[in-house]
Amino acid sequence: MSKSIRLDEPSPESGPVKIRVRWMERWHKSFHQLGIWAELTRNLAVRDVETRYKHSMLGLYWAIINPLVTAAIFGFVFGVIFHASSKPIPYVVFMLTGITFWNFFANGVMSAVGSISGNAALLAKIYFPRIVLPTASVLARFIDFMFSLLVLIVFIFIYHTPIYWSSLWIPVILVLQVFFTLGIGYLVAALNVLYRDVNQLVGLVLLVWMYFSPVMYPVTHLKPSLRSILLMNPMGSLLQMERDVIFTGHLQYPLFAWVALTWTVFVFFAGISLFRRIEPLFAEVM
Amino acid sequence: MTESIWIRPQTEYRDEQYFGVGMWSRVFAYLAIVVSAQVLRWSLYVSHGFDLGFYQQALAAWVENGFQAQSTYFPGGILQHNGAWLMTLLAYPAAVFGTGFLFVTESLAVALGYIPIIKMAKIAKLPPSQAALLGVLYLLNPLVIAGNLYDFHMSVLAAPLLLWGMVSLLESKMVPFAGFLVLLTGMGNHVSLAAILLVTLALMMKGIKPLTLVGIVLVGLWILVLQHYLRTPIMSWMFPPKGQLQVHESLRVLLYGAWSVAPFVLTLFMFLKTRRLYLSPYWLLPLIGLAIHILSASPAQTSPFDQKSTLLVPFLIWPVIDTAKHLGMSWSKREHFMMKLALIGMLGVMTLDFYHSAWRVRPQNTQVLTEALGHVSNHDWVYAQNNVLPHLGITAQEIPLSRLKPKTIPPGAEIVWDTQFSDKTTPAFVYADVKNLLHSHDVRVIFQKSGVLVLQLRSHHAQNHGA
Amino acid sequence: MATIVVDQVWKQFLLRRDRADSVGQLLTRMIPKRRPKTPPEPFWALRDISLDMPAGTSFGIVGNNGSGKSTLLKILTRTMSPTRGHVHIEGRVSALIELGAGFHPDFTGRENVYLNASILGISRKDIERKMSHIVDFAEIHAFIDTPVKYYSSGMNARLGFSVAISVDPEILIVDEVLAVGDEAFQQKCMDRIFQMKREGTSILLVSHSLSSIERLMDQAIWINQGVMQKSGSPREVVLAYRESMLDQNTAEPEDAQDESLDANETMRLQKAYVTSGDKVVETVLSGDPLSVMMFMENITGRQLTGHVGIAIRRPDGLEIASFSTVLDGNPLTFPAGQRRLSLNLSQLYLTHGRYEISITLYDENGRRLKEWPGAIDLKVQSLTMSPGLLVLPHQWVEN
Repeated sequence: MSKSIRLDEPSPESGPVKIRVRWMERWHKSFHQLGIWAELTRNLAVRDVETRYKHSMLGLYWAIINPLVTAAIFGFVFGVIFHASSKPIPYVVFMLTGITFWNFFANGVMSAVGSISGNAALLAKIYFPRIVLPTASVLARFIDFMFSLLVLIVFIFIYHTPIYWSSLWIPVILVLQVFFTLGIGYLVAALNVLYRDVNQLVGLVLLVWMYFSPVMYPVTHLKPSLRSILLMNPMGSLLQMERDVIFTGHLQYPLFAWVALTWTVFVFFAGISLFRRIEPLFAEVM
Repeated sequence: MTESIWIRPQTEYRDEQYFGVGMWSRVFAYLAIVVSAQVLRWSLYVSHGFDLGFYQQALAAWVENGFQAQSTYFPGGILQHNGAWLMTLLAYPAAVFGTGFLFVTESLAVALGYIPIIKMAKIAKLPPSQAALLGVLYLLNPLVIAGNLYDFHMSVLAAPLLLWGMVSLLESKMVPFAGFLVLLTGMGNHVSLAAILLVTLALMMKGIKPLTLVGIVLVGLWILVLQHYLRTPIMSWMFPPKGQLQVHESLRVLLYGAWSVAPFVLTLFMFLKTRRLYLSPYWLLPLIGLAIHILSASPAQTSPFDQKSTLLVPFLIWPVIDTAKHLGMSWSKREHFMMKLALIGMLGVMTLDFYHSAWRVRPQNTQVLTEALGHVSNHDWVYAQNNVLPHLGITAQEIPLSRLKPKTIPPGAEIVWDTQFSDKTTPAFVYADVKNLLHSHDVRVIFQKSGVLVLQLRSHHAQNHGA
Repeated sequence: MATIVVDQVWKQFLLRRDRADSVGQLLTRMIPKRRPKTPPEPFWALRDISLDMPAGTSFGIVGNNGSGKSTLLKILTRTMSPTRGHVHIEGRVSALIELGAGFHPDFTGRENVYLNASILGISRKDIERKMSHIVDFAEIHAFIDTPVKYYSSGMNARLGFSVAISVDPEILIVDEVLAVGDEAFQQKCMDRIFQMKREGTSILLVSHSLSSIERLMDQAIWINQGVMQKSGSPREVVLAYRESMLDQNTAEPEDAQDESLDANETMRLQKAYVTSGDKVVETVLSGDPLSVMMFMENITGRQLTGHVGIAIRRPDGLEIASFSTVLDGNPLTFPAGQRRLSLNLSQLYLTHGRYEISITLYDENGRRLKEWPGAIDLKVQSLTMSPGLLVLPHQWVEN
């Protein structure tokens, strides 16, 4: 009854010139396509930030108040009650630096988790690479992070903390951090579609992870073996690097930068890989 | 612009299933795990670093003195000694980025060998899951892991080149094949045996063809250059004097041994499953290699797992692919899972090994060691135990303590000695020599704390070195 | 250019009852215990569907609910991937599936228009130019800057349709959306779809409105339970589908009353013809009076109550006029045995051409029992060869 139509993909015609033209065409096309998706990602991220702050009374101030309140609490608990010290940097600045950079990671992952499952309406009806959604939500948190970075700069000036020119390396380290966050974000976003309580689990893991990263304590005075283990954690190493280039002027533990680099690359690719594998199930499971 | 879209089922074998993101995530997983292990060991001062010390010195000497830099261990230039001309490319980046760069370079090179294996498996028309398994068989082979994990060897970087050479053989592409052979020569004279095996493989696969002849001529020329121009004792590199392999009968060697026979076990499994026997002629090559390797073991060797056997792994993987291609079998999901699990067990052994050597047996006074290194001046020759040496950074003047000869110590040289810890490569007589020096009043103690000593030889000692 | 080729597509869903849907469940499942192992049940939503839709043609898909139409469309719009088989689409696709396009509930209507445009790869500048058209067409001027979550379903559908057609698609895929809006909007949409069809856009339409498929589409397929039942001209396909629906209705009697009026068993149409001026004719002149004569036989031996409908159609399926006792509100009684029934039309102003008259039998509740499509063929001759459907009595007056 149903007539069968044999489909074969266009095979590259003979002749190297034709193949080259095909390749160029394909590259051109995929770059064009990539541009479209990048534009879409950007739009989604900006809209995300806008809607998030448009409908709340304090508007964009949330991006600033959040780290401030956290820093105030931890600063009080650890700085005043436990007398944590982070010489030569004032503890509040030390703390706020850690919180600011950590919050970007934690918030990025947390908002990526629900990015797929929370957009079922969009997914069921229109095609676009689903990976755009978690990417956009991480980017949105990156925009937030830029605002809280302003607060950090203000605090650094208030406390007259000396900073070094090597701070200009921050963007490079941030690129690593963004990719690491994206990798983890893809992973949890995809898993959250299959298992709905990944959301809660991620919150718990992030809490534990924060205490195992040098967010609120310096690692310089720790036992070397303990320090090595804490810095094996890529986020720990990234935070340490970020603090080092701002306040120390050089990397104190340069070898661990390689750990952060290799794990970032791995986590990013593993995130995409797992995401792609689960992607076809999205429409069926949701 | 008109868009053209192909919608395909998820279950088909296509390029992206072999070479897609999945492949890259596996490659980088290996890189991340191995680099982490290397860095953690290094930071705990348990890196063997025996050869790492030599290589670091050679690289630093090139940066300081140009490519004519002389070797401190053997008469003649460094390049003449090892013939690894590609290593010169590493010199400047290594000087800038430090030891971590060498670790990452080596692990990345080994990890990238995964790609040609997938390619070979695809040419042999094996499904993606089998290709991935064969790739893991290579990555987690103890001969590969043990050869590169905690140390650095230029020759290990040849492993992916050998595999790419095999791919170009399978595709009968002469120019890439010749190119890979030329690059292979840049990995030093340690690779000569592997290069000869590769040309033999070409001969076995293709017979007498232009491609084979080009390979034979290239390798022949190279060996002539090594022998007559660089005057390397090439034959002794390929066939070192026959010696007794002193296998240290440890649990580690046993466990590593169990996993290193995985290619044979997998082949056996294929025989049993298909009830057919296919003996690939290509088994000949790794067996010859292994035989040469084991029979000609140097006395210093304590286990069959070192960097020289690493290059045999590509020759072990090819016959497995060949067998799988001939038997054309498929295995169930469950079997596949079990096999992967068995291979990943190797990571467990690696962790055990790691725990044994890095966690239990390690210098307890690492803080003091770090402190002591602060007292070492950068301008003088430094002798240090192998586990400490990489911490000195990449300098031209660092020498493993095991190479210390009282008569040839340059004046002003410093010695870092952790009396509480043995690095397992420094012989007892060296420690005796250092003790003698300590009592001879020729040395000044710069630093002394919890058993860590930094000594400096007074300048009137011994004759001028390097003149 | 703008073609869709579907090559032997199969789609399987795994209805795995014991799939863990939370990590907690996953962990509890890891505790080994004796659990009856339920193997995953494969469910084929589509089996071996092939279709070839050349550029510029329009395609209709008919089928019951759950027959796999939506799955096919989801595969075509790439929100799902097939288990087997290939699909090749050339041309920009704009799709409207199940009430409204893909909208982000938190974004305003305007933002969603931008979002959809950027997903379809239309530049912001282009879409800004078209914004007023979109808003006009959707008739939501006041709400365009309100978040979409506050929209009514009708507004949603209107905006969705408006966006989908405004991106200049080469292929338009429409699924049941038209069921939402009010009748005026539905008409507007259909007109617009027609206009696009004339301008060369390929159209793929899923609809329960069989007449619109019959009328508007160049080709149609009928899918039932994932299997392609028939493909070909929309007329044949719709006919086959209608027949099967009738079979289904008769096959599954719902209550006792149905049994009393079982279509196949109860009534027969013995003969039917057209008379004009007491003569049996096959050809009538436009403007002449006309009677449709039917001889029906009640074979149950009991008296039955029911309705009869008569429809005059063009061969392409367009219904020109229909008459039904259901609408007129007076049920007919059929005593046992033969009964003659006639419908008198005083004048029939049809244009020159071929027509057919279908007869449908309903039960007393208005449920369709049996249809005799094309029961009578009718030719109409007209003195003037005017285009259009009707030749209305007219006269020109010069003042």
